[in-house]
Amino acid sequence: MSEDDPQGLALRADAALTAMNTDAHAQQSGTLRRADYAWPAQGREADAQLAVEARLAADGTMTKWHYRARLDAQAEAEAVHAESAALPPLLYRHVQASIAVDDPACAIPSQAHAFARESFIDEIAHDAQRDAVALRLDHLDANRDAGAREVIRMVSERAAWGAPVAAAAQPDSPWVRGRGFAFDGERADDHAPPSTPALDYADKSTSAQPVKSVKQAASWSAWVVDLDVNRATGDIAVRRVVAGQGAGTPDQTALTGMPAWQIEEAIARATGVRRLARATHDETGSPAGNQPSVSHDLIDSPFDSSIDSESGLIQSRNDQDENRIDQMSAPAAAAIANALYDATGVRFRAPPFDPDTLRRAFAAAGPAVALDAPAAQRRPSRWKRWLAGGGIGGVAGGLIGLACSMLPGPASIAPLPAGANADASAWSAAMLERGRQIAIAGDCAVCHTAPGGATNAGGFALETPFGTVWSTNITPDRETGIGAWTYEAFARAMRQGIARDGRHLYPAFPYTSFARMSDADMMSLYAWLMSQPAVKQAAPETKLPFPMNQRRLVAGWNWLFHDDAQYAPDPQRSALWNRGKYLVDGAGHCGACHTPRNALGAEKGGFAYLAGGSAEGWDAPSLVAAHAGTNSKVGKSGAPVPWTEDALFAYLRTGFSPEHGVAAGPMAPVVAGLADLPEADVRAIAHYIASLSPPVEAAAAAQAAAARASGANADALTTLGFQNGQRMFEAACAVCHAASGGVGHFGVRPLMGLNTSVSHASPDNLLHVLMNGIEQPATEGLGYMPGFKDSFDDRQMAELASYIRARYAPDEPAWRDLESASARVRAQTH
Amino acid sequence: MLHSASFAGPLTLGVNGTTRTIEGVTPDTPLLYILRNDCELNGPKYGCGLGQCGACTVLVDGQPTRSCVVPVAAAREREVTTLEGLGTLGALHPVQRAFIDEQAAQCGYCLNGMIMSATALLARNPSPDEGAIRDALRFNLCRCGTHLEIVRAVKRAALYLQQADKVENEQGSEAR
Repeated sequence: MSEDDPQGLALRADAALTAMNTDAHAQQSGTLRRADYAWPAQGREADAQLAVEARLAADGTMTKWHYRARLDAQAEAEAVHAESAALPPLLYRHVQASIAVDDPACAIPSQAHAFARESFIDEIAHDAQRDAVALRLDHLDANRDAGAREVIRMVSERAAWGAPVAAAAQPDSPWVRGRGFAFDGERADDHAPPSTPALDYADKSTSAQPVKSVKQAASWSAWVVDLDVNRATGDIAVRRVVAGQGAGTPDQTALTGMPAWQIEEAIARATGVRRLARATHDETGSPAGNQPSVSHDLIDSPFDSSIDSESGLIQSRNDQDENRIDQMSAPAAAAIANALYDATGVRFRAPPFDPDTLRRAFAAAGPAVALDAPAAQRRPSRWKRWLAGGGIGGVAGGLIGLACSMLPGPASIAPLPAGANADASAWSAAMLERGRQIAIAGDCAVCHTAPGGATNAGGFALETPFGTVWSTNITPDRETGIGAWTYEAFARAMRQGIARDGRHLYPAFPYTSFARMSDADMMSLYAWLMSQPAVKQAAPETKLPFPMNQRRLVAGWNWLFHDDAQYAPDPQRSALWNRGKYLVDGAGHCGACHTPRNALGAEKGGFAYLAGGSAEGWDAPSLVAAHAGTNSKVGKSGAPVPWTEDALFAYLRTGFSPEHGVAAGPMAPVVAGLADLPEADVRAIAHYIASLSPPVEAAAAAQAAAARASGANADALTTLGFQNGQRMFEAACAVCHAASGGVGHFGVRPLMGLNTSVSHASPDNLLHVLMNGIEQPATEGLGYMPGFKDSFDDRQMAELASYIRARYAPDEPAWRDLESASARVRAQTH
Repeated sequence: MLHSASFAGPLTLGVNGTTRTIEGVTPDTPLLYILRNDCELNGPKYGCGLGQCGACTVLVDGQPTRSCVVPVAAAREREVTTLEGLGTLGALHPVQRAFIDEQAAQCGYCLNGMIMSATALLARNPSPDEGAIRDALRFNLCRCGTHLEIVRAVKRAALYLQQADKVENEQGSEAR
């Protein structure tokens, strides 16, 4: 291929072009850079040879651009591929440019030109040690190419371009990881001769050709490809494709993706390996649920595609589709070639990138590409770390922490320079909208806003078993907030729990979950937070008793309990399932409340995962039916009726499930936030949570609900000492909660027999609601409930609660010590 | 902790077909206070203040609501109907007329709730039997003991409403 014969091609250089070169030489200085590419025939007459030459300024900017394309064999055939015969557009702006296409039959496909151009600019970016995306933007005009710039910006942001690429799994593995960028498209005015000076179109048949006459709005597409390549075998595994397209309208909050099958096809053509594409786990569910994703994971193992609407589709292809794939494969090939270079340092200047070609090239490159990748630090498993820490929690873990506290601590990260405050204009509208949704999914404002205070300005008191932790100000105020934080500092805090100044944050801040977030999500969250109004407000200082006031001990805690790995999708599961788990384990940090914690306040693993915890004095029920409430005789999850996926969805979406009750307490703001997320994301959460428990038939659940709704026989209870409680229930509660429906009432009508809080092992949740009522329902339309803490004393509360328990959860053991429980809950009332 | 329900500035309510704007209201003020003090609608009464006696009942989007325990924020962008909004002195609502005709009041303090609840009942069940009436009014407390008259009044109201419907239908068919 082309690596073999650059010299030969140079010798055959066109006379006109050579003349121009010498001409330019006289006028300009700078480095001259030349590269030759080839595009295989693929059923056409001959391979295309493409030569690029550019004069570079010191910073890598191209001042002059010469491009020459011709077919290997002079095929004088008729123009059969008229559709692809448009002249290669000048995407980037140069001081001078010339294009020579020696292709009377118009047999060189347009994607060949794009491949050469996008590979070349990547090469010069590497030479000049410039960022490949930034260098492209340097060649696009801020006004005239605003659309192209916006598409590049949106796609590179979506792919978290610039974030360090994680090393491949094994340190001594032949697999290496790389990522590449490529861009293509056409201006709306491409049919008019480009206004760039010094054009020399050698294609004399232009006027005779059926030039594409129907040009709509400008259309740009940008690709970021992440791949693993095996330096020994030449195998390529494309892992992820972020591909977006559009006209690049600023303020557009959504980027158009591409259907999975088109991605699959384009990758298959470039690499010779077919892999299955599906939406990545950090892809926000589209409102309609059927828009193509921007970001795709490529996996090689087939899975049950019936759940995944996108990849399940078998497309019938037509000519238009073929043409579309042709166009798309242009950035695909270049992005793969660029990623291969990033991974191995070997440049491939002609597709396809099949294992044979790659293996030969790697062998030829010799020891430079030998297996000497930097060894990745392998962490001992959590189990081993436990053993090292003594395994019995408490004292031994503390000793480890003490040891850690004697070592030098994490470094401070330099603040953003004064005046360099990040603001909204630094990011695309799509990025900010994405960040807003992540902030909602992560419930930042719930803990970082004081009651009645400014959003995210901190000062919320979080009660923990170790003392009160005050949330901090996360608005972009330089002195009291995170205004001086770089992205690096922000990501470190989110993933490792270390503040910008090197101080350890207490794990009350769920960085243990946020570490799962993808780089793209982390960046957009940073962008959104930094674009919010700055509020100057110092949060109260958290003062825990000794030894917890030694923040350095948290380093030991982290060593024992914290795993900062990002979420790794399970290829055996559907995209929906992975999306759900990613949201639950990552931004959503459901486990922070719903997973029990050990003596040191770390979430337990294994069977305890999501098996029920506590939050702000409330019990967070188990989300897993199988292992929860093993000492309870009925309803293994503590819920009287097993949860179906649909019931979970309704509960998370509206805050109410007729078979289970209302979202109250700390869950209310969670549901209020979920209401702002796309339905597809809430569906994914419900799908994943439901998958943790044995499947439940809707009919079985409905039957269980019907059986439980009315509760035990009321008459029998009056003789058993529940008369007082019954009278209170009839007077205070039945008006809304009577099974008969009573007067009919504004809001929902939870029935006590189906209410999770009534059949729960502890009375706390029920007592919380009896005391305080529901002052602020999770969503409008749920209705309100008055609190009775000023009407009933602890004895009355106990009588009422024990009646409700005996009547509506007759199979559960009676609650004990209800009077003292009532006093305790009353004291917790803020 | 939850911020969706907090809002600043004046509050706009739809009350009895008119739009009322009230300044300087905290969103957790009970709807009853706003209706009585700001809108000067004294049909709804303050009884127990706990949503139990029913004297404060108003209709929010047609649903009977105990206005003493519902914050005014709940009525935003909804239509509130009070006793005053049912009929006028010159043209009483059939339920009001029935309660007068049956002399269903002694002290009259509960009657607002009885009439509003009965109106909602008849809207969803135009011909309730005695059991349905008793069930619907079960949670409206009357201390004077006019329960029998109240039940009769609701039955009469159902009759009036059916007659009114009939007249309306006949007029409708004549007009056609």
